[in-house]
Amino acid sequence: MPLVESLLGECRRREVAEAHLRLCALLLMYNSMPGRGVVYLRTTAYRVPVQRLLEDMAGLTGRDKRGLMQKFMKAVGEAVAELKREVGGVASAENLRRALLKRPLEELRKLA
Amino acid sequence: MTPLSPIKSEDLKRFLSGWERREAPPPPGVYVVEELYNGRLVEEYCARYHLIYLVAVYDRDGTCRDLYQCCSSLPGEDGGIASRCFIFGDVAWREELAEKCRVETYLYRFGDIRDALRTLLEFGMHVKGIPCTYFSLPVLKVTGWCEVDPICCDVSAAREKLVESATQRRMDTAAPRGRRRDRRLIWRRRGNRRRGPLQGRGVGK
Repeated sequence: MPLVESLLGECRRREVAEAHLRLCALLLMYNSMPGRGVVYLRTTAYRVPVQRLLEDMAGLTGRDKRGLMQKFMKAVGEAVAELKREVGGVASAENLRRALLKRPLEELRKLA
Repeated sequence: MTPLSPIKSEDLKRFLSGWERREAPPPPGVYVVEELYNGRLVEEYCARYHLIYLVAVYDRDGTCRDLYQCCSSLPGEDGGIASRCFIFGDVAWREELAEKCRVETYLYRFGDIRDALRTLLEFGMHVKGIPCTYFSLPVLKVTGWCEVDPICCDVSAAREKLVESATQRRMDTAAPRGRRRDRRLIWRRRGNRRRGPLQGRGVGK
């Protein structure tokens, strides 16, 4: 989805990622979710996408990366818990994407 | 787990009171949602639930007697039959689904295209809980939804604010730290002056 991709592009900037951690984590989850099939909601499934995002970020030391990784995974964990309450621990990718996309949109509305 | 979330029957009844119900697949028309479900999931869903379609029929003059037939046969004002009927559904209808799925189609007559599309939009967003970005852009524009909720149509403004607020936040957090550091420097310099140039380094003893 172009909306998600363009916003995720901004999340590759350190200051944006730090200031809007929840939004960036949600966008990342949306983008790294399978297009179809069944999804088991687990926080660890998003560890590699977060690592990749941090690799793309310029000017981070190893310590910065570890700190940001921890914060990101916390935000992901919170989002996963919310989604589990809404759709259950196992859901179709389509339903999950729909439920997930509502959250970054809300975050953006707050910002606007 | 169900692949598609079924609508609560009380919500459906409330929303669709006055709509004409048919146990038939939807007639030809324009789908208002762009991102539709894929085939395999639909089959799983069909094993448990009905597929539901809402068809908003644009009939300005009220000349249409049978709404279903109007979508299928009558030519629209701008040339095509599709322009008369707007459809909301999770899946684009295709013939193979007829063997596997029970289908319900609800039809309603509208004298105004804007009203027709807005009704489908409200159903999708408030009853089905679909994010607004899933609807096609022309539908969002015609209904005036882009003014109500600009993020649904264009994220460039939100994107700018995102960067702006992040930069601002960084400056805010950097400024007090900088000030504190400056104060510490001044303090150290003053101390050094009192002690003399070499005392601070432990050389003067």
